[in-house]
Amino acid sequence: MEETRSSLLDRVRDLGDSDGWVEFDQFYRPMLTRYAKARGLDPNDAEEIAQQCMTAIVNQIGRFERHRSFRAWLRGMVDHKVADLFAVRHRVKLADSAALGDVAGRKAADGVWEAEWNESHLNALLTNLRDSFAEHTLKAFELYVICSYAVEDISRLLDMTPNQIYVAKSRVIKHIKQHFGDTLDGLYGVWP
Amino acid sequence: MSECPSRSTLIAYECGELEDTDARPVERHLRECATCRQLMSEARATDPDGQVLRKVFSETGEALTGDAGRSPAAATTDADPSTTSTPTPTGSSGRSGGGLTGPPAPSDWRVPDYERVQLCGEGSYGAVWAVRDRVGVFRALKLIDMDRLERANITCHELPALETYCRKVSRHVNLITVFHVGQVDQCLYYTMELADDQSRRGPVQEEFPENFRPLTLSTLINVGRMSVDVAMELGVRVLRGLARLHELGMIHRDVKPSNVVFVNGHPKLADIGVLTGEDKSGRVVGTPKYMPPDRVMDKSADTFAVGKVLHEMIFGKDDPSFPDVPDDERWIGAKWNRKRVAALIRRACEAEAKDRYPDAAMMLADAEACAEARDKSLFDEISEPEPPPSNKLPAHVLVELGFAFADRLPWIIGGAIVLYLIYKFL
Repeated sequence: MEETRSSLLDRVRDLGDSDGWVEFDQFYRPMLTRYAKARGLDPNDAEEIAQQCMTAIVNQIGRFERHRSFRAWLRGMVDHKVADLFAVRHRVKLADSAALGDVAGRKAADGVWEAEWNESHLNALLTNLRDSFAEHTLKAFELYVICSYAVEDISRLLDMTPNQIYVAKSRVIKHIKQHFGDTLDGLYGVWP
Repeated sequence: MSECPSRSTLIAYECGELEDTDARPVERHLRECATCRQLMSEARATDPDGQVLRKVFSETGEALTGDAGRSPAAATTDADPSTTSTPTPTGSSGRSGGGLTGPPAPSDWRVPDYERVQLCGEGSYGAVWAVRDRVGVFRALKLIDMDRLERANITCHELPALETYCRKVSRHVNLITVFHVGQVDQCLYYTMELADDQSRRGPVQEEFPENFRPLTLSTLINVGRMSVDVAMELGVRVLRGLARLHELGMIHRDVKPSNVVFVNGHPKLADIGVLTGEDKSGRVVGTPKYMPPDRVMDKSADTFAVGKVLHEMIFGKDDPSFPDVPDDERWIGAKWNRKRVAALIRRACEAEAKDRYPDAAMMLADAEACAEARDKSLFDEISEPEPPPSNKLPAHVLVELGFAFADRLPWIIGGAIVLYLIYKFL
């Protein structure tokens, strides 16, 4: 039996976890490919960039420091690979490749990266929560935390005691922080 | 009115940390005390988690709750919200939470003709159960919740892998046998041979052991280092299975000790979840620890993994000497040619694909050549390849179906020649 693990990032750092790696690959590869396309690469090059990133991640994830932002780390990696490819394509010195990357729309791609990151992770979060909790638990969390309803109103609506509501919302928050804390860093720029 | 609870009690109450019995007096008190209600409101308004989550969830136009997209099985896994002691929502089923896709396949599945016996192991998107079939034979059944994978936008490797494996691989003593593939509701399942029991070191027969755990190579490596003799006997068997896959144009991509299971004492390569055809190799898939450093996931990546597994068997798990093969006292009881075994492991574990064994057949040939000086094999009696089942129909069936002439043609021709020669000499 596998032990409970905290997050996908933790699982990928454990180099013996093949399921974690497959999950990671399937989640991040399409995102990286779409981002590379948005940077102006053709589909083949974009897929190549994603492949290079996945290879680099396997090699470097063990050295990734947990206090750093994973989102920024991944963004830096994909930007670096894109810049390298531009350098090769345009036969320019590597030192100038960053500038070429900018010309190719790095700033314009900021929005694409943000949108890709936010949408992918938010969808994953919603799916995970729906699969992990009973509806009344999620409803209590939603009404209390998201909609800011008074606990007495929620109690009446859901036929739960106030303590049950507090327990439910705390469990959901704990779950989100435990499983999504590191890969959701910077989601919408608000994650602490 | 009762005395006001302490601030820490109120915070613990708001954080859902109080048992029902402790919470009831606080609830009663709050109904009467405006000051404490005010304190609770302030704590709620300034809660940083709440602020963050409100902002995050306000970005989606989709409500968190509702019927759409909800797995009916999920509700049954959620613990009673009145309890405070369940750290994960799936705790009671012993699942591994975490990851972006959440807990794996449901635990309340039913597959016709198979009775659930025991959960043997879980990954993040599949679970393996020991089951009993209609005639009482124990099998392993892997279950994958396709619906959940689809909703999480995860491609299932298992189905194409199964298609390739089941079409191409007939029975091989060192490859796990898949008996049946099917679908029930939204779950893909397939049945395989059940591994031997760890504690009995033998197959499960009539009675299912209470604490069954599958016997894998990982179990044996965890016990301690093996002698070169044992490691090579096992390695050769793994290579035989792998060579068969390579011969059929398939790449396993996840060779590792926990994927070598023992069935009736035969080491068998199992877990075909990420197996692929040669034409689709290249993607970085598998277990990073057993991948070659260049991450070239072709047949040579499989042989790299076997080399790494051999190293682990002989020198222990995560030995810092890897990929070197030290010539020291750690070679326990070596009856195989140590120099050749060392060269075998070194070549298998070369950093670059061009320097490694290109496929398992080449490595197998070298591995078998290391065996010159060995004594009688420890495993020969139990792990020689099973003879292929005879495909020839019995003689009386052939006669009845009109195949008798073809079958007897050599005799008829021979007889005719003999008669001709007798006639000629007479």
